[in-house]
Amino acid sequence: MSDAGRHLDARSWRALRDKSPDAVAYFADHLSRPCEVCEAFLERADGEDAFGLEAMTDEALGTLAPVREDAVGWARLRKRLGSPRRVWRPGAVAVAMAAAAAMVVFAVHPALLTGEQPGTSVRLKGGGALALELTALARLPDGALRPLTDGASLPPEAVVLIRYRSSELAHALLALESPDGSVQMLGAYTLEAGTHDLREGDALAGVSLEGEHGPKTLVLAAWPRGQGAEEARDAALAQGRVPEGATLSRLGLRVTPEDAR
Amino acid sequence: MTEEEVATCIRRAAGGAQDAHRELYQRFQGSVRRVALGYSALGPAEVEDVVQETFVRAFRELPRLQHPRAFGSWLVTIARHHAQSLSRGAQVRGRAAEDLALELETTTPAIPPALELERRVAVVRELIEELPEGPEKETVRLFYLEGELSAREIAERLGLGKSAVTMRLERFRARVKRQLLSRLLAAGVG
Repeated sequence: MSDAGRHLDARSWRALRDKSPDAVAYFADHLSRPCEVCEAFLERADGEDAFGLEAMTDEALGTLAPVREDAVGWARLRKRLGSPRRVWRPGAVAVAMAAAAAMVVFAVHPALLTGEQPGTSVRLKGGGALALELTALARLPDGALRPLTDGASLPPEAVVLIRYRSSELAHALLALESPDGSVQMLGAYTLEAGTHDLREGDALAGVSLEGEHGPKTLVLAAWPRGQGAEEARDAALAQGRVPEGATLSRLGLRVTPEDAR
Repeated sequence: MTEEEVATCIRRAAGGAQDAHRELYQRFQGSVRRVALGYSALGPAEVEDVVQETFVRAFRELPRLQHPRAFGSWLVTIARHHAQSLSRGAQVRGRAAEDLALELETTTPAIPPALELERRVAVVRELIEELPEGPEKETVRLFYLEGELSAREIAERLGLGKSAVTMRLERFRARVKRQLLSRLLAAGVG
């Protein structure tokens, strides 16, 4: 067969995959110019990707558009990646962590998360003067934003955006608690003094309610920033423990499917 | 985000750092979404499912990734497998899942300097520029350059059938593959 008539097909593809010098040299040149026959073969190619061509192509094509933040998608993903639900141990005692800051931590007692009126903050034993308030907006499936009051009913497709007021710079953990006392840790944050949206980098932090049902309580636990480094804060997230002296603020929600409301 | 920053993020994410997971998600979710949105058979919920499932799988397997530079291509490979399985229906999903498991075990591509991401993006931009003004160029521009609409939405906007848009995108994608394969062979990788 003369070189001029050769196009990509199953046979020449095998030759390329086997690194036949003749095929490699010919097609390196031939494919540098438009060829409808070869492009039709590549369009149909749907099997083994011996050259990693599919991924290289998709990666390049996917990089063309501007990068856009996706706070809702991240909220859903973070929840799926989150630590398994745990039950806080009632009456847990203070323990010393081996973290750099050797901060004193303890597990949150369920009563502390559920026993107070909404809108107030609760200081745990030995607490300082940190004042903390938690409010929230829901981004609904149709894109609308709705301010939330305590006990608000929301569909599981909603994403909750948190706003806080803190009297000072603070480290914080956000958790979602169920009536049975199980708690899902959602993230570790640094709070600024004043009233702010809870943020992760440049994006708003959102809480996905996907997979949830019934009453839930969002709990923001914060403690003055001086008490330990960010590593200790992240360790607190991993262990589901907050330092002695943390202040808690919370918001009750009810997750109900749209068609049951 | 520079290549070095991505590599650092991957190392931290493999160790469980949540902020690193977030940065990787925000940096790469657009590419993953583009792959899924190219399948006009998939509705918005299925596209979202592809995005979520891709990152869940990738982050769980992250400690096994041997080449941080391959992260982007690894992600889109996972996304394409998952999007294909969803678009083809439940019958082949089991098989696609098996293929995916194999892919996660073995994907360690070696990309020559001539085909680093930046160079590939330049190649694609040139190919778009070379397209004659007309419906194909408009479709490619809307889908890949603006990157806000799905294949379905472009079909609605241009008054076309979904398959016509998918066909145009696949044809352009084949043109990109032809050009990249030529460079790959010239670099001696084939």
